[in-house]
Amino acid sequence: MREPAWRRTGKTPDYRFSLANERTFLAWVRTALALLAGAVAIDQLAPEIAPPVIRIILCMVLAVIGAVLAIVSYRRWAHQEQAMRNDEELPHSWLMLGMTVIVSLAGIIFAVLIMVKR
Amino acid sequence: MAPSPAPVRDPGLQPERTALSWRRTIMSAVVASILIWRGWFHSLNGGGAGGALAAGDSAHMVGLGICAAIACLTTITLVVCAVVRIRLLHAGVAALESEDHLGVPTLILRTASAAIVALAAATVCALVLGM
Repeated sequence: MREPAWRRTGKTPDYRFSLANERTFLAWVRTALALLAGAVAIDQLAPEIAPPVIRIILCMVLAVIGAVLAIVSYRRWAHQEQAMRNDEELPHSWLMLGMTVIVSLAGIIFAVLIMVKR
Repeated sequence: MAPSPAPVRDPGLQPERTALSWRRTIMSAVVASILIWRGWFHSLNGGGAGGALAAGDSAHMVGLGICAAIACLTTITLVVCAVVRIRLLHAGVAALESEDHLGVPTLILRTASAAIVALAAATVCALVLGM
């Protein structure tokens, strides 16, 4: 695979900042994997949590968010790396706000489902 | 005053922390993968207990088996990415600072992202087939 062109622009950032950026990417990747694992776990281990159709849709939404998050985290890593190479300000990202909203929503939805089930 | 020798390792243990981060990521991938495998085994046992198998059941089993195989492949891909990356990280600080070293992470991180998208696809298929 060809190296993206931006890898040749600017200067190589301090490897410590690059590694920190990589760890941030990996943390988001683990979040994505947790969403995937959560989707399958809810489907398999809590089949009574909601009517089948609703359960499958909720789990599928979690899995799709996991896939999108994997792509977004790569893009975010690349943008941060580019900014560091060119000594620019780190780009603003809606990722944190978005994931906060998504995780809170998931928490509320599943809490309500558990309460309704009782 | 003699110049201080070139550092072999980072005082902040940055490469080690990054290597551990890769290991944690592998563990997360294994957990997600095992759950998909569990769904497949469950379909095998559930179908076998009832005696005669309906045609739809065996189709589900094959489908879930393919999902399990994809999950396995994506996990292996991630493990390979992590092994390659950890080896580079443990090559020492001098290697991390060198210019020819810089090309590697892009491919590794892209592959890792793609593997997770594939795992997500397997998850969605497993969810649909598990109904």
